Amino acid sequence: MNTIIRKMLYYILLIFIVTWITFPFIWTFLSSIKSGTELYTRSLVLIPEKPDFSRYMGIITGEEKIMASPGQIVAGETLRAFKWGMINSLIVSGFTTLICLVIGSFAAYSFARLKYKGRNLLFSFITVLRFVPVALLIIPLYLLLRYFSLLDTRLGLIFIYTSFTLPLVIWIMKIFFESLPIELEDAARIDGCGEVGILFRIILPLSLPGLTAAGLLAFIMAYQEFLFALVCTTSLNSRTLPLIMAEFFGRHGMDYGMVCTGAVLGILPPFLLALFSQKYIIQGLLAGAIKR
Amino acid sequence: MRWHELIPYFFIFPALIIIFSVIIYPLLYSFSISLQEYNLLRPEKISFIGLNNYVKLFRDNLFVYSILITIYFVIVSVFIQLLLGLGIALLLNEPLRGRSLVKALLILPWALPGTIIGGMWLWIYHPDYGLINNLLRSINLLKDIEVISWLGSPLLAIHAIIITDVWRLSPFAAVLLLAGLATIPKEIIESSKLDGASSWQRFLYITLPLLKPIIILFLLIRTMFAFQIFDIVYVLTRGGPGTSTFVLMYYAWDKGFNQLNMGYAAAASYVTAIFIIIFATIYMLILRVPLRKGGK
Repeated sequence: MNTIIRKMLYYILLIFIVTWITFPFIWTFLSSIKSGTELYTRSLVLIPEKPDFSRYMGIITGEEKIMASPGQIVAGETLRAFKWGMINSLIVSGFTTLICLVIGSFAAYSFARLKYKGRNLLFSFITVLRFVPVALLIIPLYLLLRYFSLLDTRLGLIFIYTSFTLPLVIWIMKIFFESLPIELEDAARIDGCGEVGILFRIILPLSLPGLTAAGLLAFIMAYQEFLFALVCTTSLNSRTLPLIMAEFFGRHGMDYGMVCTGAVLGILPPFLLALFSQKYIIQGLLAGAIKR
Repeated sequence: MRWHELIPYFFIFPALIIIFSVIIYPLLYSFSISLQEYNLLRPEKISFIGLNNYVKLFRDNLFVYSILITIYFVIVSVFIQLLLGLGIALLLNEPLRGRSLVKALLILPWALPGTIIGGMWLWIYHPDYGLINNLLRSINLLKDIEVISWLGSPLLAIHAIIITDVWRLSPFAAVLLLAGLATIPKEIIESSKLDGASSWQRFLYITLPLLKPIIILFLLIRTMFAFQIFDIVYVLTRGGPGTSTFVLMYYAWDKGFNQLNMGYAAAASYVTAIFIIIFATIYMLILRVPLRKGGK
């Protein structure tokens, strides 16, 4: 009897946890398809009577549109900002991930397999860098980008994000490389394969899970970065989505239904990545933490 | 030195270049700026002033308040996250139906941009039409005309920020702790059951000590990032009402990029870093991490 009550309690807690985690998402989505009167009410409306997907259509087609509630006008300008924010975010995060993986793999391979002077020292150094608070870097990096006229460019952001993520990527990749059997490389070396050849033909294809883990973390971190984007960008040339969204939320008289629509679309890329490839993300997060 | 002995250095070179130019050099540069009168509005007056910026900082009541409110935020939110995370992890470690589905949800809030999460909660906290107030109205705890302004009073605002941060990161804590639980050998648990240990004893003397490395990892990482909280605050309160939620990074950003006083802001961010180091050291000492070299 005792165990049954206990099980019941467990399941109640489980349901509570699921509700607590998912409800803000569900609420945001429901708000994005509510009509104006259902949105701006002082009573609890959970499910909209007639789901209204017109806000999504508005963002996707980019057309100027008058929303259901009177006086709430979403100008084409706003929609354009959202679209460019999304494009900038995907470009910046995508390239950051790519560059991190290429440069990081080379560095990690040298740490995992090659022998040279200063290797251990360099690696401890990179480990320490993972714990440098980025707060310290904001003023100098802003001045640096200003000096090189890289303010308000995607290139500037990619440059900054790459270096923030690189130490972590190197760490994860090193641990994955070390877990591969060394016999394969020895065999290749006997067959006359050079270090670059070994890396590209043997190591990298085998460490696809590691690359995925490191890449996902790099993408997620770059996609959500806000402070540097806020400071280093000024226009739609390079403003990323977190920034555009923060601007929307801060504006008075903004249609909350529209803001919720933007939020739903804006979280979609990392949301889907996290949902469907979390095995890799967790592996990446734990690399070096557990397998010590 | 022969050609092939140089190859490793070619492998590591690109990474080092980027890391040096974007981390090491700026770190030093930032320190030198913090010792200067460096205001972008008055570029002709840039000059070395020693530790004056630091002295001025600690004479500014708002800065001292920033330190205190940030420490409060860090301690409260990180510890609630750890406790809730531990609870969730222990629950999901039981053989329950549907738990793999729940595990799949845990990583989500962590993976999303803080500004969008802030925006979602801004709407939930909305005084007139927000979810929380409407919920309270529907169970008659709040009259129809009444509003509770969750972000409008200093005491509520900081806690609204804490709740949002806890929502975002306690599942993340659970993810780490679950992975830690998975590494505990079943035999240990079984044999302790045979020895007659109660479930509370098992938790206290077996599970908790074995989870210690993960707990320390979580505390270190979270404390470091929590000290630098910015995006959620920026969206939810903009430091307000008044200056009641001016956390350290918000203070530094305000000085640096609203008032363009770079030297002063750089000094503020150095002080933030020093607090992070102090906290990390305290954790290490309290939890007595055996300092092993080499890692493996």
